[in-house]
Order: sequence, then structure tokens, then C-alpha cells
Amino acid sequence: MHVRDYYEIAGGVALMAVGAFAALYSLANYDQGSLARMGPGYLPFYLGLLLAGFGFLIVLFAWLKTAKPEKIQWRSFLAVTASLVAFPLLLGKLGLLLSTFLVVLLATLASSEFTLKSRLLTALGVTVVTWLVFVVGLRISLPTWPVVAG
Amino acid sequence: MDALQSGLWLGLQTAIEPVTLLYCFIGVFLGTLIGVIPGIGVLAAISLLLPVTYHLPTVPAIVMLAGVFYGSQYGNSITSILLNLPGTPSSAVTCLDGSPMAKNGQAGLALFTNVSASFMGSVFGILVLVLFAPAIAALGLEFGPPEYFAVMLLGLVAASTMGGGSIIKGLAMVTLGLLLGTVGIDINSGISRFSFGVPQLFDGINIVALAMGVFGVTEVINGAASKSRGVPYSQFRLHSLLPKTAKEVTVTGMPILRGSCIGSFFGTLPGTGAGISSFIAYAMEKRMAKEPERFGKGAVEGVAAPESANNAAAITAFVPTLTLGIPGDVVMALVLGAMILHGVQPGPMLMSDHPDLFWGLIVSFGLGSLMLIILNLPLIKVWVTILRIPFRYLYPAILIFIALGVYSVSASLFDIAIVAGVGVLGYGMLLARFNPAPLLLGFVLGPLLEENFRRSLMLSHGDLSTFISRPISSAFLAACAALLVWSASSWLRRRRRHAKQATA
Repeated sequence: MHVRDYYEIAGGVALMAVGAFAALYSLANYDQGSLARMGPGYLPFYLGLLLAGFGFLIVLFAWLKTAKPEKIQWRSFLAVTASLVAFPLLLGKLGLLLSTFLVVLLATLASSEFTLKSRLLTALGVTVVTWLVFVVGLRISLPTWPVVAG
Repeated sequence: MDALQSGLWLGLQTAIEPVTLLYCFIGVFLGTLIGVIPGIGVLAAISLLLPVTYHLPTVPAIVMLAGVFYGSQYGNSITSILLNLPGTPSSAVTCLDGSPMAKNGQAGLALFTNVSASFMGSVFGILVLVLFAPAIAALGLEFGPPEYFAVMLLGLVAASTMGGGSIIKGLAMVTLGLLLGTVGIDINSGISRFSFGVPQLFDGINIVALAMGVFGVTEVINGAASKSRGVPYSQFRLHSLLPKTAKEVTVTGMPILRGSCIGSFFGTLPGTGAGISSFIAYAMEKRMAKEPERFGKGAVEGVAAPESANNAAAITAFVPTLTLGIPGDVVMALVLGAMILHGVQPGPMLMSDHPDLFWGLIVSFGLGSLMLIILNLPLIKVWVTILRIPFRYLYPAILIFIALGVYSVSASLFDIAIVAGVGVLGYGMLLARFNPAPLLLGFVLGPLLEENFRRSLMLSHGDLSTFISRPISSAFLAACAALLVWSASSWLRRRRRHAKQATA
């Protein structure tokens, strides 16, 4: 179905906002200087203006056309993002191996093609590989096992 | 000639050091592996390996990253031929005739042609690199800040207009990249820009986190959501890959030569690389063929020409990076980033300051290409087996490697969360069809661009005409303008055609 591409419009608006913010923020906080002696705020100000201008053009052109918007893969998007947020939170407490196992279980929710058994086996397999690469191989500076509070 | 000989001799000594040789092998091996697996691209792979390079000496680190890049070209082609599943624009061209060949029972010949054409293309590219790099570096020594500014601007404009898709979006992404590149301490004034009091941002945004977020995480999200496909079962033995008649080899000779020339030329230009040169090489073969109707139905020239072109381009892409310090595309930008992390400033002085790196890298291209022949002919069965592993068993490991890779750079758990954040942004960009490649190029070039822009105007006392009055920089700027006008007009033409189709 061809409809107005709201993702593209949202992207353009976001660029306008970032550009306007960068321009105003550098105008307010950093010395502009002159062409011959540019201050730290000179280029960011113009880059911000330029970005806001491009953002405006993107919104304009996106408004004038119809397109087939990309489909959001919510399930995969949420599972992958949640895994990356959960991993650093778990690592400090549960150690590398247990955290990896749990995060992989979480990450497998992204795909609809797993069974419970293949989820567990994948998590086990990835944990073993992670142990070999990062603990045995690279000697990463993270606790391998859960940290006892104290 | 003496300089060339002693350079190559030094390069050989550097490249055959066991540690360099080992990482060259790891690079081409991983490159082929990444290329074979549909769903993970060379950019994600190089971003994943950037943290590893922190733990390595400079030469093996760069040799490995380069190996991943040209090795992935081989792996991509295997998947294109056997599965008709292109991972990159350049391997989409290989699909056109490689896949019909496989369906006609000529998969072995297609794979053999891929390897031989790729190898010849690489060798040709190495020759071009050896012959022209010193001259371009000598020219680069004449460059002042205005010339550097102009050539970088050309690279950025080319990358945003040639990448396909909307030019405005490409330019917007470059601008955003430049802006992100200003985050951190400004070396001229010592003022920390856009860091909002967050100490982690004083050194700027971490390139590893940025690259992994926009390439790695986005690819994992997309790959995990896609349904797995069956892989046609086919049995390969070494002898089934070897050509049966001499004619099968000789017929590809001229296409390989033409493809190599095209690839070497377009590889050196900023913004154009493997993808475009394989399209042009394919189109040219089709035009020169006596029976153009064979193309698309399994013509062996249709595999030979684009494969030699994209591999030649993968090597000559190093010309502007090594001689001028200006990356022509994102892969080169990441390689450049890795060199800077190792305290090596790429540019005209690289050849004299770090001859071991320069020549060692060149010789390693040759050695790596030889390793790729072994990896791709006798070991083809390994790759066919790997092709059968569904992506869902791989992406959780990729995710863990992304997270721990970022952690190993900074020893900060906070950076893993940053990657998650950048990944969300990257996915948003994918939905809005914003290409992250120009963004990353702008990010890497941003500080260099600003530095040269400032210096130019300081030298000219604020007179902007300095960019136009100097012949080399005015030529580059004219090329920029021409590129913008040309792509704007072709975009308008496409739009008008679309409008006509819509009303018809």
C-alpha cells in the first residue's frame, strides 16, 4: 500500500531539530570568532543551520510523494535492544557466563523460529564460545562468575 | 626503480613475519566467512574487529582489517552464485549470471571463475597501487590546507551522491556526521563541544560504538526478523571446480583484463568503489559481447568481468587512503580510523614515515589473495556447509560479541548501553531510509575537514577566494559542483519519469 511516508517525515523533522539545537547551542555557548580566526562555535553553527535546511527539504519532498513505508520489526527490535540494555546491567552482578546465557535467551525472542530446546542449546553454545574467546583468549577484565555481594 | 625494489623487499620482510602472516590469514578467513553468511556485512565485521586491533601491533592490525575487506568480496560471491542472495551491490551483479550458471549445473565453473577473476583483479589492483601510489603521494606533498579541504569535500559529496537514493538525504547524513565529529575537545581552543558535562564525551564519540550501533545492531535486528531460507543441497569436490577445457579459462581472459582496468580506475576515485565498478564492468561486457542475449542466462564473462572489477577496486580503494589520508568510502574510513587509533597519520608522509606499514600492507594483499585461492577452491565445502547454518543461531553470538567488543575498548559497561542507543537511532534511520554510510564518513573526516578549513582561512586572513584561486583546490571544487549538478539533474529526470508512470 502506498501512503505518505511518515517515517521519512519524522526523520526530516528530527534532523531539523538536531540542526537547530546545534546551531543555537553553539551560538549561545561557544565563541564564534571570524573567518580568519574561527572560534570553536563557528563551524558547528553553520553545520547546524545546514542540517536543519536539509531536514526541511527532506520533510518537504517526503510530503509531496507517496511511498511504501518500511515495516517495523517490533519483536526483533525490542528483543535486541532489551538484550543490549540488560547485558551491562547483569554483567556487574552475575558475571560473564550467567549474564551471557540469560541475555542470549532474551535475544532469541527476536526470532519466531526457535523452539524451547533450540533456545537453550543456542544460549549454551554462545556461552561456551564467549568463554573461549573472551575469558580464555582475550582475558577480558570482567568477573567470570557471579559476584557475591560484600 | 630502486626505491620500488627496496620498498617491496621491506614489505616482504614485514608481511612474512609470523604474526603479520597469522593476522593476514585471520583477516581473509573472517572476511570470507562474513561474506558467505547472508545478513552480516563487511562494515559490521570491521566494526566488530576494531576493538581487537587495540590489542595488536599496528601492521598486523591494519593487515587484518584490509584482509576482511577484500576477503569478504570472495565470500559474497559464493553466496551470490549458490543462493542468488547478494550481500552487497557488487555481488548483486555477480548474481545476474552466476546464479543461472549454478542452475544450469555449472556452479563449479562459476565458482572457479569467481576465484580466478577475483585473484587476477586483485593482482592488477596491487600493480596499480604500487605504480601510482608514490606519484600520488608526491603530488600530495604539494597539497596545502585548501587542497586537502577541497579533496575531502569532493569525497564527501561523492559518497553522498553516488550511494544511491536521495541526494538530499545523503548530504544530510554527511552533515550530521560532520556535526557528530565536532563532539569532544576542540584542539584549537581546548573547549569541549557538545559534551554536556558527560566526561565520556570529552574525547568525542567512540567510533567503535557508533559503527557497531548503526551497522551491527541494525543488521542483527533485520536479520533476526527475516525468515530462514533453505539452501539447495549440492556436492562439491575440488575436481568438480577445476575447468575441464582450456577454453573455459581463456574465454575469460579479456573480460578479466577489462574488468580489472575498470575496477582499478573507479576504486581510486573517492565515493565510487566496488559496487559501481562491477556494474560498469558488467554493462561493458554485455555491450562488447557478440551475443549479448546470453547475459543473464549464465554467461561466464558476466561473472569474470564484475568479479575482477570489484576486487581490483577493493585494492585500489587504498590509494587515496594511504597516499592522501582521505578515505574514499566507509570501509576505508574505518581502516583510517584504526590507523589513527594506532598513532599513524595516513597521508603523503605515510610512505616515508611508516614504510613498513605501507609496503607490508601491499605485499600482504598479494599473500592474502594467494590464501584466498586456497580458502576458496579446496575448502569450498566448508563454506557451503556454513551457508546451511540459519542466521538465528548466529545473531545472538554477534550481539554478545558486539557488546563485549565495545567493552574491551573502554572497559566501561556504560558504552554497551550507548551502543544500544545508537542501535535504536540506526534502526530509525533504516525506517526513514537514511543511509548510515555517509554519516560515518562525515564523522571520520569531520575533524580533518574542520582543521584544514580553519587553517586555510587563517593563512588567507579570512579570504574565501583562496579555495578558488589555487588551481588544484579549484579543480576539486569544480568537480564537486559538477557532481552535485549532475546528480540533481538525474534525480529530477527520474522523478519526472516516476510521475509519468504514476499518471499513466
